[in-house]
Amino acid sequence: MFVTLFMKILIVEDDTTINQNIRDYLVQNGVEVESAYDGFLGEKLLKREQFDCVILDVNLPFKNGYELCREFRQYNQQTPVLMLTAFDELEDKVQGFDHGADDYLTKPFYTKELLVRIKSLIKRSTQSGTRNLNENIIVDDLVIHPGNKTVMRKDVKIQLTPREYQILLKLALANGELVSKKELVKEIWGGSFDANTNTIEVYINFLRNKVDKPFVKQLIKTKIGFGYYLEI
Amino acid sequence: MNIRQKILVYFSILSISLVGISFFVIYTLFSQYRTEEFQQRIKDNTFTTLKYLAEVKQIDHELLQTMDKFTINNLYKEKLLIYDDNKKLIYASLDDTKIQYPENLLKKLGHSSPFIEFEDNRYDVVGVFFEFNNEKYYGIAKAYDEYGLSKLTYLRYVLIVIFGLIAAVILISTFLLSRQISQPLNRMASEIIHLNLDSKSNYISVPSSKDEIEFLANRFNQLMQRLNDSFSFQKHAIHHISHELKTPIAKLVSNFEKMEREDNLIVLKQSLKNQKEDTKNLGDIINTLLEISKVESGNTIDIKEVRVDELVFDVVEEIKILNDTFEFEVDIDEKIENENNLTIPGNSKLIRLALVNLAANCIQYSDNEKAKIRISNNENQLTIEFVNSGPTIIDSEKQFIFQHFYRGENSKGKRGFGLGLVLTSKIIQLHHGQIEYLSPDHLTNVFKINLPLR
Repeated sequence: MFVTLFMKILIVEDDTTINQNIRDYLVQNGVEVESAYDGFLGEKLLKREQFDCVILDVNLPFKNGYELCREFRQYNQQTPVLMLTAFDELEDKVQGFDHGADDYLTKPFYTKELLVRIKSLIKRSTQSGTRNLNENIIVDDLVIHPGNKTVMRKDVKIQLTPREYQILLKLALANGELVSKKELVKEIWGGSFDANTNTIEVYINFLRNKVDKPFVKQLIKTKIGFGYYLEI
Repeated sequence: MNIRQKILVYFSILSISLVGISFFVIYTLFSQYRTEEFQQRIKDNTFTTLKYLAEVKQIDHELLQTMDKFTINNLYKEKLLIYDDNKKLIYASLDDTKIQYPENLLKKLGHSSPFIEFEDNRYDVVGVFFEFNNEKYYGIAKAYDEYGLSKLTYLRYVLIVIFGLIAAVILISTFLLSRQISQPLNRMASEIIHLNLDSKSNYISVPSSKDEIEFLANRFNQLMQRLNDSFSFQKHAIHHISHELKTPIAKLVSNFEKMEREDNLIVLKQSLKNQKEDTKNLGDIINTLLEISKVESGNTIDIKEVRVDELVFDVVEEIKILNDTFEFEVDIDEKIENENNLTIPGNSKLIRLALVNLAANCIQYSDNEKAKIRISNNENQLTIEFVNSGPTIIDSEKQFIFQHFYRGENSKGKRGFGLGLVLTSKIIQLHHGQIEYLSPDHLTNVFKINLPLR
């Protein structure tokens, strides 16, 4: 994984020690960091400068992290936002996603974990930047809208879990080409899993139940021993 | 003034005075009616006599008086005086009623005021000016309306008696009604005063009256229920957490003391790292304890449909961020064909914590940086197994592993407080599941969780 380290990150966290420690750690790793200790200053910096990623604490003086995030999203949809929350505040996770945050980290956390998450957020945002999120992916009568991660077939909305969605997306993007089981496992679960093909079969099964079964034409095809493809 | 007195005073004053006012109006109207009617009769009578007098002027005075005897009973105790143009008395009736100062009355009578009526000491007096055949006459009559006045008196007594009765009825019924209204409130208030927040049954009795009082009592009890829950949560949580944290904190402190005395930089650095991880672990323990206390106190338990496989993958992804060389193999039983068979009702936050704990254990106790997570199910339960190779727990210790602060032989030299499995098993219990430890051979650890499917 290559992530450019010419990154500029904003930290809005009111605890000076935590703020300073995150800052020191990130600077050591070659990241340029701006710090703010309250919601107002954070808001000003967000308006004035461009960042690659924003770290927001939830409880901030003057303006809380959710509000800050929501307002930020009104004029910036690209820059990833990571929220730092107390464990209890996780209840509001859904609320937070509604406010446009991309990821969460529960206190206490290791700064190392924070950096890994920032990197993957930035990677994700630059990747999706190259693909137009507003452009629908259409396979026969199946429509995938990557912007809000919804899947429709014949105007019927299909509810998928995050991983089912990723498998379908991968198959759809292959444009009818064969995708091997190993490739799918790698794409969806990272290289770390032993490529246990059972798991992928189970998920393909779930996908078929949802995407194919209620309809006449069966889109997901198996090439036994190799992998899967969508019939265009 | 309490509610009861208010109802009593306001309602009785209002209704009694309304009755009083209406009776007074009835009496006054009747009294006016009597006066008018009687005076009209005197007037008519006077006219008749005057007319008669004028027409038969020649008639003998005595004849008139004789006629008078027949008409005298027309009005009781009537005195009639008739004057001519020169205000000379030309006729006086037989009656011996006195008319005082007739001259004053005569002066007032004339073209401008042909009638004068007034009451004089329970008598009604009427003065009339009358022109007939170009001759002017004045008549003054005075009479006592015995029937009318006795009727009026009778009416007065009747009204007074009825008023008294109605007032008594109103007072008694208001008294009873106000008592009926305020009694349940008072009873409630006294029950509330005697409520003891420490006792378990701090509820008030609910009357089955199907009215606002019943509603109020129910709402009060609901409020108490919530208060109780949050009190018990607080009591519980504080007790729980302070109890559980004593040992870990003592351990951290003693480690710091040891580090103070340590001169070897390499050893010191390693201890620092351990301390860091222990402290982070402590933070996680506090979070878990808080969450468990919340659920135990029945406070806002968030039971939803949880897709266990997704949760497992999330947990693995998360835990691998810091242990990127460690390999997890997730194995979902291919017999599972329906996603409902991977969905359990539960609190995803807690189940996640349990899974994180077990996955972290795998990392801690694995000897080959590998672990396997197997998900399978049967008819009514879902099974998740965490399998890793490494030193196992010896048989004699197996019964203790889910107890507080217990650390087996195989954990020697490893970090930890001996709380992770306690909390994990607690979480599984809360979801009506079971957790068990198995070691099929002397180098394989299996933690097996069974969770009921809906």
